[in-house]
Amino acid sequence: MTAAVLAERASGRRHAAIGMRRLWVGTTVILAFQIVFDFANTIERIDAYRDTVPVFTAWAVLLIADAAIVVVTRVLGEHLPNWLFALWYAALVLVIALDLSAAWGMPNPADSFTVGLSAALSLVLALVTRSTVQVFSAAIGLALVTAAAWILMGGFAEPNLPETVYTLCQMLFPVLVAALITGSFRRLMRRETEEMLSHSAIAAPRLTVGIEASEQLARLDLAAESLLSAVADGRMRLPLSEEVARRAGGLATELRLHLLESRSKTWLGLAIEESTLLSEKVRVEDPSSSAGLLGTRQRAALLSALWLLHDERSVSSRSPQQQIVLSFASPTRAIETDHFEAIAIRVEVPGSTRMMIDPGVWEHFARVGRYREALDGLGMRIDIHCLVPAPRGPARGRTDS
Amino acid sequence: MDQIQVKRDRLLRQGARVYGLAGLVASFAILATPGSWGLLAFWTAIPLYVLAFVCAAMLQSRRTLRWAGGLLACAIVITLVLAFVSPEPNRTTGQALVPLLGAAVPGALMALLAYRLGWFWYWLGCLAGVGAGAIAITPANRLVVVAILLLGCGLAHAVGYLLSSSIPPALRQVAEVGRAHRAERRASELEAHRRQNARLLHDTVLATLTLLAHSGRGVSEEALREQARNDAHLLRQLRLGEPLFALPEAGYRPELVEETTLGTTLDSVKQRFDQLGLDVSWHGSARIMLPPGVLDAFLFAISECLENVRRHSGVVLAHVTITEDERVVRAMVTDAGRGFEVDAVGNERLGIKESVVARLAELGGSARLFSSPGAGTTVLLEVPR
Repeated sequence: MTAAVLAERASGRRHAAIGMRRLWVGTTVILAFQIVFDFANTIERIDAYRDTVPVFTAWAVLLIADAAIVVVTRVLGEHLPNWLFALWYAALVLVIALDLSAAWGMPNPADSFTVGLSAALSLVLALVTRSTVQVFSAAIGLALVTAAAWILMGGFAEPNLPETVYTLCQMLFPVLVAALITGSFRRLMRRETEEMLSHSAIAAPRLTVGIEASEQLARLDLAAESLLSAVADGRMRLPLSEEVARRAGGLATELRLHLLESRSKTWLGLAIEESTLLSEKVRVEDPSSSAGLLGTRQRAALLSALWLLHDERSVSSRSPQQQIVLSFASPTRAIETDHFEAIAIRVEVPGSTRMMIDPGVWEHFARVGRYREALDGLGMRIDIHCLVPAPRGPARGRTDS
Repeated sequence: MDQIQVKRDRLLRQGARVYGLAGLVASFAILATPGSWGLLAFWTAIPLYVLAFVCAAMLQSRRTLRWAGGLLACAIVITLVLAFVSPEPNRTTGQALVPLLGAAVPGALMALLAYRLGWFWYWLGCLAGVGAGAIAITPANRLVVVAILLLGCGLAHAVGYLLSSSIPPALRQVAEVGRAHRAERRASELEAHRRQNARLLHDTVLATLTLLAHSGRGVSEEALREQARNDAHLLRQLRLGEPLFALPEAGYRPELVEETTLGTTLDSVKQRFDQLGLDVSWHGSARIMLPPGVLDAFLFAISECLENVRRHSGVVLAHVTITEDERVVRAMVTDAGRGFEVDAVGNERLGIKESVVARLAELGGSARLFSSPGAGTTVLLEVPR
């Protein structure tokens, strides 16, 4: 696993919790209401229990476990270690088992299932620290345990069946709904974050280097510095040993490559490359690095349009292999002026129609340049003709701000 | 702000759809238990449920209001059908109404909270549903069921509020992350620029490293040490962010001043190649004003060519002729060495295609190469003034 992948995962984790605090506090409050409600139900049925010890033990275990999870999640800053999650889940299973044993022998077991409902809903506390799939499978696990016990207890016998189904739905659906809503919230935040981060690339000069490449160059410089100073102060004897000589050669090659390669990236290449979401859906063909000639406003508009097109693609999830392709032609001298050059940009959106594209896209394209759209057999094709300051002479590499 | 609202509304609609669908599934699952299979009401309600499912699934589309209203209407009709088509009171139908009116309806109406006065329409719709439920429920259970339904409506409202109020602070947080990232990128960009602008420095470092890679053979040990010391010092200065003023003992001076005379710098290149065993003979003008970036690239190109002469030509003398007119500065690097077939050797192998040609082209200049076996080599470099 490369450092880049690790770094990306770490930043993904860091950004996954953005804005979740408020949502989490809200769900905790809702859970507290549910607990009060279910506790009132327990009290109401108190005469029906042969023995009240199991059900009250269950309440005590649930309250302690939930309180502990709330505190830990808060203290660790939206983080929950795996072993603690497992321990907590075991406590929830115990609570449900106690509740089921308390109702053993009752004519309609689902009707007296109270603390178990709270235990199932408690899983929403893990929404901020666990993925949607994990939380939902945990909820299904609890429901399965309960359902299995009810088969033995006669919960699925004829007169009890509606009540049993009702209670199982109550166990599953609130958690499912909460998990799905949190999932879309998280997706929205991830998309917003990536768009925001990708927009930071538009201020780059005509040709630029990524953050990572820049750090790499600094590292190589440092390695060269230590090698050279070792040679200078005689710590390494001349002529050098075979191994050190090879290291020097390797360093020179890498340094040379870095000094050359880093000049070939445009802001657009960087913005797309550094965004996982965008790089899945968009490909750029820009052999002459023309994208670098666009002004700041044109860049911002183009990037916003790409994000809107990306949204349209993720909503209609057909054939994910069909990428949006942006091809940049090399700049040509615009007619009758030396100060501007013309760049033709072609945006191909396969499998799309004008109706499906967000109206905002056209607004953004209009800010990039004059555009013409056409529908061919494969989808939309948009040709943008934009004027940029000529790259040579005083305006070279400058972007209007 | 407008964008924030669009995103908030979309999220609300997504939530409403999931919430509404879940309520419908639960309601139908309860109703579909064998106890109600004998009822006409159950079979009548099935198409209505299908309709309600369609409405809930469409909540995410553009006409949210219409679909939410449709779902409410379906739910009310289902309630009345369950209550009146089969006259005898049935526990199952009563149970099925709770998720229908307490979760599916308020869940779907949650989408209305995105609109102005949405809460008003939300509660109007919810209360209509609860009212229908109150009519349908047997009097004995009426109070409890109505209370539970109202709780359900309150819960959906709370969820909707929570969702819509979470978005603006979250987006502000995102903007903050974006600002921090922009600053980080700007810093990294500057750093990269600083390092890349120090091309002359990197150029000499590369040359020294290449010598070291050949274990430093063929060069006097003292000269190599001296060169390594200078390079290490300059790298250190670059790392610490100090200005790259040349050391007193340094043989070359990558000066970072606005305009530099070519003369002193050309001298430093000559001295360096002297140390490496290549005699460089200058001709033509030695005082040329060039902007620092262009000068750097120009000098880099010249020294790269001289390095090629040193390595491949087999002779120890190279001529560099500098000429200028009002538009361009030209340098001609000539040697009388063994030469080569230009077409036979790939440009990459010469190592100058990328390094020299690309850098000069970036400045609007050019590099051309003339050679044939036994007749020496000439490289013509041009940069605009």
